[in-house]
Amino acid sequence: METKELLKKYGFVMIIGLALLIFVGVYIADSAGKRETYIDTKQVDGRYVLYSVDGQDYFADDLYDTLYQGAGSTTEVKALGHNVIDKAVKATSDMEQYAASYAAYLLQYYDEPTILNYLRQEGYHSLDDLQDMYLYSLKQGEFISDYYTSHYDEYVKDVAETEDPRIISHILVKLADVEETTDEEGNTIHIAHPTEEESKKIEEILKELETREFSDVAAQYSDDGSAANGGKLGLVTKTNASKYVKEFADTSLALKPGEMSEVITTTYGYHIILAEEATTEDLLADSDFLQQIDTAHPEAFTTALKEAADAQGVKIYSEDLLAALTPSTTESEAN
Amino acid sequence: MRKFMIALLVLLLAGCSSNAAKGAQVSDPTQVIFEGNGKKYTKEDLYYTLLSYDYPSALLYDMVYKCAVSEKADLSAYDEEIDSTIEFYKMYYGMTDFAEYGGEETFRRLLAASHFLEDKKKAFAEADLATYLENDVPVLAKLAYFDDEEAAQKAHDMIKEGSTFEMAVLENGYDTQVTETIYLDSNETLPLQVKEFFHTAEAGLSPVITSITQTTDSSGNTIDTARYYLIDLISKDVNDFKDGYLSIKTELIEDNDAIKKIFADHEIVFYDQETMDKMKSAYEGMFD
Repeated sequence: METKELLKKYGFVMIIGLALLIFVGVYIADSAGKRETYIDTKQVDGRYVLYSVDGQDYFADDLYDTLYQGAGSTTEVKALGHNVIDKAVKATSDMEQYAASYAAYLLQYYDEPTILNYLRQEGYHSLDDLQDMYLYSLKQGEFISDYYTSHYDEYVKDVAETEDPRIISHILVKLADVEETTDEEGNTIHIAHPTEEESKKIEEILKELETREFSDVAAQYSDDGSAANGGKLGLVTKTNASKYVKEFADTSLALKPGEMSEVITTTYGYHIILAEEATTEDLLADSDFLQQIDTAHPEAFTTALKEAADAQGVKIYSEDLLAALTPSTTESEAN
Repeated sequence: MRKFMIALLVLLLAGCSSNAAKGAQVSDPTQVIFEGNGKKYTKEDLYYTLLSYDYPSALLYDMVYKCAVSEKADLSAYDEEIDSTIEFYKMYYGMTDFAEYGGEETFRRLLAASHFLEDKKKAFAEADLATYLENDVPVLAKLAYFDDEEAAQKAHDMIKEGSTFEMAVLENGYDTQVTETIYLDSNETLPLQVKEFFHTAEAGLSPVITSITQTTDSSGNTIDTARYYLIDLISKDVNDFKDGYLSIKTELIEDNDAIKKIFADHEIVFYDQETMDKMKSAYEGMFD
């Protein structure tokens, strides 16, 4: 049978079939895109009715302002963030893998209602969105990190000057006997009582350091878990140094980049510490340091978001959202 | 040909339904928060995020407001009080746009709902007056107690010499709080002997001292502490103190109990599962 004849014979059925397919397709797509949990869903002029009182319908957009008092502008900023950052930052496969493993971890350790409520506060609707939510948070980190890199003088320089950051590595020789006492000024100090074997080990390390790279020697000799990473502990700043024992923190901050300490004693044993210059990349990879920038420049994220939104041609109609994205005069002046 | 015309019409209708489903809800530009990268974010979209935060009371009071509207209650009667509250917030809290309340209009609605609720509570109290009277047997009296007889006597003498009851108690008593409207049957702290006094005594006479060395509480426990009650029984006729009595009863009505009664008079139908779940879990029994 020729095509023309087929069309003549079955054309009507095909068109009806096609129409039905479009209708069903639209229905499914619409249900998937919209909320799936409606009970006896009711729509008026395309708007979903939430509830009615004596037959008078009330809609989500009516109640938006009522609920705005809780987290209004924050919610709008978050929604804008999703829209803008999703486009500005492309997810890498590393990010996707990390997000997937973190989502699996959360599902294992937290109950579903807790996770679901958290998801909803972030603008998501189902547990299936968990990975997306975490992927977005990674993208957000990348977004702000990129912004700080390109606006170093505005946002990073002052914090770096105040915090005096450096990358710290160390070699630890654990000692079985460390005496804790106080010096003449009442400060707690530690005095080493090494065994012959422990003394021999630290001597050997010092000798090796004369000819070999610090990281190689740390990897071979250090008794600390950081040995696997060439002794590297990461970024130490004036603020975060306090997470280390006092002698270690003081020595780390007293060293200039490129300098190596003498052997110092802490409650754990002998340490030799190396300070290195922290690059911008090091600074922005450190969550504590990023937090310090956020504290010093609370308007940075919304400023970055507004700039990116403008660059992407996003049109903002909500005055509250615009206000939330605009640094207040006081903040601007202060900075 | 006719078959094809029908088929094309069906096709056209299917297309139209898709347009209606996709875009009609954002026909009002004031409902769009922002648009970018091919998407429009409407108030409807973000409503559910806001709902996930714990502020169900805003929705609850909004429902009360809607019941008031449905009842055609005269909400303009509250305008003056609402205006002064708004002024107060502006002056003392420096609020201008009331953004934290979803704008001034939303805040006004919330205030109107609160006033409407207060009026409803008064009406509920009045409607239950007969039941209250049956349970309470209220009297209007001034009552204070003393731990020693001499202090009670001094206070009594001061009243005889023209001092007010309150001043006499304040200067001589340990219990400086003077109670005025006293419920007899529903009062759990008043000793049975004092209740008995109120039941039998005549109102409007001079204050008396009722000394009780052994009291019995409402659970029937005997307390051996000696106490001297200075009592001024003003009235046993509730009509003499009805307003004050009803205002006490109104204050005792919990907001949520009153709201439940209001809702019972209206047909509230949820069409959205998330909103219903939120409200039902926040206010157990409110929407049954």
